Amino acid sequence: MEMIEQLFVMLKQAALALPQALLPAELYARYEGMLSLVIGISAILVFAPATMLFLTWMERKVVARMQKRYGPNRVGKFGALQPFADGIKMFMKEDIIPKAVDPLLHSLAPMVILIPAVMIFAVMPFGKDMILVDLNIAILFIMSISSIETIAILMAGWSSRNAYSLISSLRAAAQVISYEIPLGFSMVAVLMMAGSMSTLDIVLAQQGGWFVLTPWGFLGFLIFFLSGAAEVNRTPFDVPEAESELVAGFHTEYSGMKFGLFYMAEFLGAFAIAAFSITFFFGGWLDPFEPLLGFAILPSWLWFMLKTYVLVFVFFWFRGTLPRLRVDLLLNFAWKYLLPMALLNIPIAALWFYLPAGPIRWVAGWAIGGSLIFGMHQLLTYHRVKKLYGRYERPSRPVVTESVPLKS
Amino acid sequence: MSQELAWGSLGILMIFATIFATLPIAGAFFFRPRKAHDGKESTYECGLHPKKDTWNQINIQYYLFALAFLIFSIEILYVYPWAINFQKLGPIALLEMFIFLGVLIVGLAYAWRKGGLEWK
Amino acid sequence: MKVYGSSVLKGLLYTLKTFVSTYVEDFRRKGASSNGLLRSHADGVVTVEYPEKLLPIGATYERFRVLPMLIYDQQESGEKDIRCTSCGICAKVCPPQCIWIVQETDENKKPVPKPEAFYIDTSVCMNCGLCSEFCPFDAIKMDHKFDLNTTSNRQESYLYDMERLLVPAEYYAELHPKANAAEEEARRLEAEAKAKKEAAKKEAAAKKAVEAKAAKAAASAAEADAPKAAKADDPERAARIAAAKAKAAEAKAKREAAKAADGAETADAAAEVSETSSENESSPKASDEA
Ligand code: SF4
Ligand code: SF4
Repeated sequence: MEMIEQLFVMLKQAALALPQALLPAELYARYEGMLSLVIGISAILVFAPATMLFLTWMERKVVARMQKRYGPNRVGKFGALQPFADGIKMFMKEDIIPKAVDPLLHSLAPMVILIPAVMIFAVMPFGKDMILVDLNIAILFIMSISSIETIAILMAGWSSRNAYSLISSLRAAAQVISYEIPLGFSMVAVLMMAGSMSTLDIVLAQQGGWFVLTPWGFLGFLIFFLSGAAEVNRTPFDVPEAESELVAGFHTEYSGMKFGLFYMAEFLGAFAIAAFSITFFFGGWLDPFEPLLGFAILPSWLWFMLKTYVLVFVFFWFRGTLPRLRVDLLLNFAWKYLLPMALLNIPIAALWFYLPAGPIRWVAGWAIGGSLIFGMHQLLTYHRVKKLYGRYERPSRPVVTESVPLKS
Repeated sequence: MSQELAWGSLGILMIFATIFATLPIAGAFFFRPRKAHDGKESTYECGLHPKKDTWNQINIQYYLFALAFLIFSIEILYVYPWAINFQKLGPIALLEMFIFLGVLIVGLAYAWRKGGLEWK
Repeated sequence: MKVYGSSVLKGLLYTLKTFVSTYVEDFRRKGASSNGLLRSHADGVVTVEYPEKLLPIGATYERFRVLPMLIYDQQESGEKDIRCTSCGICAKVCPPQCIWIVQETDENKKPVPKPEAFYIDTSVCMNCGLCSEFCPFDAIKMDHKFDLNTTSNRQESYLYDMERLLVPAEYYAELHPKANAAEEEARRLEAEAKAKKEAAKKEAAAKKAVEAKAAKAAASAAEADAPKAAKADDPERAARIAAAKAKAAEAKAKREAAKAADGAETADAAAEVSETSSENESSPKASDEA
């Protein structure tokens, strides 16, 4: 068990053995940190495209099944080689740069969107001892680096010199910045309870129980997950890529590998949101049964992946179920629903903290917190729905009681 | 891990990520066909020829949202340090935070009532 | 109490159920060939894996139609008797104008009712089936073959010539058993009617011969009466006129008789119609009163 648990750590050690043997001891001691960092980075850079390939396949499979189709099934067993085929296709495709575009911005945008998408993996605790850098302000780092995506989208949309791309990129910017607010506030409760911004500390703070089991954790998770979905433009918040209105959104003018990079950034973003939801609310790589059984059933990194893929599945599930939100409803949802809810979460968390520990906290906390959440939900949605649809209320249809003569 | 080292690592990661992002495009450069012609290189948009240049003014609505975002994201920055130290600071700080959040909520309510959050 | 957003959960549950049910259904159907009818939408995966499995669409839906085909009857001599008479009706009605016909001519450059060349640009054809609807000779019918993809030159491979369009009548009968039976029946009735008509014609001709004889006799008598008039009036012509008059009278009588019969029928029908309509009228009124 211990071996599987430490599999990747040992692999790293094994990789370090070679330079250790070759280099003089003094030199090696000096550069050991650097070398292990490079190995870690390489691991991430292998992991990222592999995840992306798997996710594209998984998304198509899951959504297909939800629509009673098979999904990709021609390339390889269960279509498992389909993502590779797609990758090769994108790689070999002609890279068309339209004459009207701003060539520099146009070529730079896909790189700018991919770099933060990869960098966000740096603070992700994949398992015990499996984090690249344990930053003490990891949450701030996540928030700041994920908002670079907006700039890339704006670059792509503006440089394309295409009406739909421009509208799409502006919408994306409005959407991403709107959802960043509830995203930020939803993490306040977590910070209050964990007392640290480091992702590692947050995971370790959940050893007593996952945060999602508490009322503030539950609400925080919902807000974090939904606004995260909006941040990475997943359905039902994919207004920037609304095919039915905006052709292909901000990447209409892209082809070949550049388009592929956009695609990759999108999937990595979705994975990152799922993974950080796990980290902040579902105990990260912690084994939920370990405190009960006394030993770990699965290695920590497997737990992390399992939990993350459940949430990734939820993303695909949304995609298979929910239609796209209209753009005004989308922004309203951020400002007039998620934000008040996120603000409400702070007093709920404070209340939870000041309740005496033990069963009474669970009962009273859930009773008060749950009713507060429910009441707020009803208040906000009732207000919105009334206002939106009140004037469209259909008059009740007159009931036909007598048959009308065919001819008079 | 010391924080200087952590930030340095992030810098190195950024360099690697840049290479990672450039590599596919650079690699594709050697494989991809090049058969450019005018029709292909015109702006696609939606299949028709674009009628107007799109590099011009855009809806003011976006700036309103950007302004609201600016206000609230700075508030978030103020709330975070308090949140981290919430357990140490005690109930007085909680009260103060409620006052702060109250101001925030008043701001939100103001924007809401004024229709600043309404997409037109 | 209405909880807003609960319908989202409902929808999510529905898709999850679908997701699971497709796997369950796949497992249950494991090994069983699904090359049968369309699976019901309530269970399992609906998509048919097309190149391997083909739905028997033709067997299920006879009037399914893709691309026209020309029909010939196999003669005993081995010759192909193409039904088409190159009348050109189909080419006229074809909405995208994708039919092109060349009429055959004999040695004297006189057109004969046979097509020499018959082209259909199948990349233009929209499978509307109007050509087959309008053909008065049941010569052009709609096919069932729908996998038309080709890797060769599209321009040429989609331009069907007569060779590719021709199919034996048996093939058509197999594809469209019901329609073929109905047409066969119609053709039989037509042939019967034609035979009857021919018989009637023969009878009339026999009658005419008798009458002509009588007229000739009369004419000869007239000639004897007024020999001068004979000069101006050709006896044969007079005979023809007399015959024509007789025929016209006969035809008139026939027409009148037919009219009378028809009239009776139409009167009957009208009565029926008025009856039903009065019923129609009365029923709402009755309900009104009720
Ligand atoms: S196929 Fe029918 S309608 Fe067309 S030319 Fe021949 S006989 Fe006429
Ligand atoms: S099916 Fe319609 S489109 Fe095709 S050849 Fe016949 S009339 Fe023309």
